[in-house]
Amino acid sequence: MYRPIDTFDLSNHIRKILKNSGFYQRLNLQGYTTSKLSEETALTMEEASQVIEAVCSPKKIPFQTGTKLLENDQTKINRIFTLSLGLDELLNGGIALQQMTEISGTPGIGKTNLCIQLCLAVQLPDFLGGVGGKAIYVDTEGSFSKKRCNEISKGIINKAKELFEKCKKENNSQQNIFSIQNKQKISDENNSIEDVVLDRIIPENTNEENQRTKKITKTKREETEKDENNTNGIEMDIENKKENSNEKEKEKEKEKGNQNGNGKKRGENNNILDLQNISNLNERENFINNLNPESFSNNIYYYRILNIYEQLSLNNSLKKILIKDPQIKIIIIDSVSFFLRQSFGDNNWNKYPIVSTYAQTLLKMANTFNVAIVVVNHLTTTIKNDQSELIPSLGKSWSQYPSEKLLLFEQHDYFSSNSKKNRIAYLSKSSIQKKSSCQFHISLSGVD
Amino acid sequence: MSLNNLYTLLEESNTKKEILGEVSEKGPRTVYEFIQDHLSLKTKTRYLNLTSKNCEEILGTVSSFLVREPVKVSELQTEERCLSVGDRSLDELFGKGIPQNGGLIEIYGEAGCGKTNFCLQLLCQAQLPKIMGGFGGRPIYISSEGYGYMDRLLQLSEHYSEKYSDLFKKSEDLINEIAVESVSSIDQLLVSINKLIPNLEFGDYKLIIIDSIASIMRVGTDQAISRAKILLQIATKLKYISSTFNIPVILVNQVSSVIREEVNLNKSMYDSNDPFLLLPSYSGKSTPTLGLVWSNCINTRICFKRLKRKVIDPFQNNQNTALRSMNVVFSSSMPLDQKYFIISNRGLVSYEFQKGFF
Repeated sequence: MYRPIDTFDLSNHIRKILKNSGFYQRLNLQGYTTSKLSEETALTMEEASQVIEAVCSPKKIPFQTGTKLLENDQTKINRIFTLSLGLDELLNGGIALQQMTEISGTPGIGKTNLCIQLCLAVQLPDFLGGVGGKAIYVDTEGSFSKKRCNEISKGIINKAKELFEKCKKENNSQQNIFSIQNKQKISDENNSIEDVVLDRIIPENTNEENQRTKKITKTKREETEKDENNTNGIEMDIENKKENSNEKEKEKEKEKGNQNGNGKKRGENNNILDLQNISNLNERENFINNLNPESFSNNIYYYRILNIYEQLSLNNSLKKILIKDPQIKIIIIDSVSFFLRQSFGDNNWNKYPIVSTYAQTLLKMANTFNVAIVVVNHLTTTIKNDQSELIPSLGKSWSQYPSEKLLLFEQHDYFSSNSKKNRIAYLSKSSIQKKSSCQFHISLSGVD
Repeated sequence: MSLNNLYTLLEESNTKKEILGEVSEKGPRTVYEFIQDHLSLKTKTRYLNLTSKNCEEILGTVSSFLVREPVKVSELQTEERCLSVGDRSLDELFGKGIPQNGGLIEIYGEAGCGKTNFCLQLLCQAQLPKIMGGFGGRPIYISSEGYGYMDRLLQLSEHYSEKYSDLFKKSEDLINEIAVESVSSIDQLLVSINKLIPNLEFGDYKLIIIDSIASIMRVGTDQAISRAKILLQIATKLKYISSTFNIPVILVNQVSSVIREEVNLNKSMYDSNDPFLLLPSYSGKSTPTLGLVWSNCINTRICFKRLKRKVIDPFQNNQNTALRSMNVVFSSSMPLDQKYFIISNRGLVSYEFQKGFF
C-alpha cells in the first residue's frame, strides 16, 4: 500500500517523472489506467503500461518454513574429504558443500596443491569420501600444473588401493574406506614426523549416526590398547550400511558396468562419476583398479582468468554454467584476491561493494546448486597495536562471507636439532568447530 | 565482432529494441567500461531509460561474452616443452628443465652468487633447437644493470658457437638473436613490456628475462601502498604474457638483510604474527626484497647461494672456485630440492659431493 515508488523496478527517467507528478507511493496509483496515467504525466503509453505492470502486480517472495527444510533434508550439509587426515579432522569431515571455505596462507605453503587435491577428491564416490562430482578450477595466477595434478591423482589412487587391500584382508565390506582411523607414532629419535597422530571424526551423514558414534568410541578405546608399536595400525570402522542409507543428493544412477581404464572408447561407460553407490566389494575393487589420472583430469573444468573483468564475468555466468552441468560439486577460485586487490580504472573505485557482491553471488550459487566453494586468499600485513600482523587480504567486508577459514603457515620447529620448519594449518573460523590447528605435509602424492 | 563495443555486442545478441536504443543514444561504451559503471552503480544514472532488469540483461550478455569456454584439464598439454639450463643434473631441479608454462619464476640471491650468469646461460640455451633442449627461439633480456654482462656473454657465446659449430657459425650469431632492452625505472619497464606484446604474437620469442626487478622497483617508489599496486600491475601484465604466449618469465630479485631480535622460544607461533618469520624464504640473515605482495605474485622462487667452501674447477686449469647452490624455495609444480654447482668458463656445471663433477 504505502510502498514507495522507488522500490519498484523502473528506469530512472520514469521515476523522475512520476515523482514530479506527485506519485510517491503505490496507493497514489490506485484506480489509474494506462491512458489516464499517461495523460496526467508526461509518460508515453508504453512507459505508463510499464509502470502499471510493475506496480500493480507485485511478486510474492517465496519462503519455506524450517520444518519443511528439515523434511526435505536440505539442511544436511555434506562434506568432501580432503584426503589429508589432519585437515579432515580439523574441518570436521572435510570441505562443506553449500558453504564457502577460505584458504589463506603464506606464499608457497601449499594452497594450490591443496586445491588440486580437492579437485580430485570431489570426484571420488562416496565410499572413498567424495561426492562424485566435477570441479571447476578458476586460475587467476597461473599456478595450476597438470603435471602436479597427475602426480597427486596417482597418489590418491595408490592410497585407495592400499586401503582397499587392508579392507579386503579384514573382510570388511560396505564401509567408507577413507573414514578410518590411522595411527602412527612420532619417531622422536630422528625428529622426523612421519604421520600425524589424530583420531578421525567420521562425518555425520547417515541416519544411523548415533549407532556409529557409539562404535567409534568403542573402536578408539580398542585401538589405544592395541597400538603400542611404531607400526601402521589401521582399524576399520564397521558399519551396517543398507542399500539406501547413505543417500546424498546424487544425480547419477547406480551403474553395474566396469569402468574403462583408457577412457577413450566411445559409447562405453568411462566416467568415474557414473559409478556411485557401489556397495559390492567386487565392484569397488574393479572401480579402484580402473582409476587412472586421465579419468580424473577429464572432470575438472579449468578457467584461466587474465583480468578482473573476466573474473567478474565468470562470477556472473556461474548460474548458467552450473545449470548446464549439474554434476559440478566444487568451485575453486585460486586466488580470489589477485585481481580484486588491485584498483582499476581511476582510483575512485571502492572495491568493497564489489567484493561483497562477488561473495554474495558465490554464496547464492553454493546454496542453490549445492556446491562447495573454496577460495584462496593472499595474506597481507596490517598494523595492530604497533606491531605488524598477517591477515587475509580483501578486508573485513570479505571476511564475513566464508563460513570456514583455514590459515596455512610455517612454524619453526625449535625443538628439533636441525632448524626444521613444519607446515601448520590453523582453523581460524568455523561454524561448528573451535579454533584448532594441525600439521600437514606436502609430498609427491599430495597433501597429507 | 568488434571486441569491445557494447552496442555491437548487444546487437549481435538480439537484445531488446528498447535496450539497444538507449545504449546507442547515450554514446559508445566498451564492455569494460560497462562493467566498471555497473560496479560503481552508475549504469542506471547513465542509461536513464533502463530498468534494473534491463541492466542485468546487459550484464548477462556482457559476462557471457567475456567468459571463455572452459578447458578440461585432460585437454591441457601434459608434456610441456622444457628448457634445459645447460647441465643435466641442474635440469633435475626443475623436473626436466624450465617449463614453458612455468609462469613467473623468480631467482634471488646476494650479490655475486651467480644469478646473472645463470640468466646469460639461459639466453644461449634458449636458442638451441628443441631436440637439443632449447626452445628454438629468441630470448628477450630486459636489463637494468648496465652493460657489464657483455664480457661474460661474449665468453659464453664463444663457447656455445664452438660446441655447436653446426648451428652457430660465429659467436655473434648467438648474440644477434637476443633482444635486449635496457630499462632503469618502472615506467620504462612498463613501456618495454607494452612494446613487446605485439611482437610476441609472431611466436619468435620464447623466453623473457628481467634482470633485475628489484633495482627497477627501487627507483621512484617510496611508499609501500603505491609500490604494492605497481607490483600487482606488473605481475598481472607479465602473467598475461606468460599465459597467452606460453613463455616463461624469469625475474631476478635481490636480498635485503633482516635484523631480528632473539626469538623467544616459549612464544606461541600463533601469537607471533611476525610477517618475516612466516615467510618461507626467511633464512635468518637475508630475505628477498619487494615483500609479501611480490611473493604472492610469483609462481616459483629459487634461492641462489654462494657458499664458503671452495672446490677445484677441472675445466679451468684446476683453479679454486667457490661452490654455489640453488634451491627451490617454493613452487606450484616443482618439488623442493637443492643442487650444487660452480661457475666455469663454459657456464654452470653441477657438482655432487661424492661424485665430483657431473
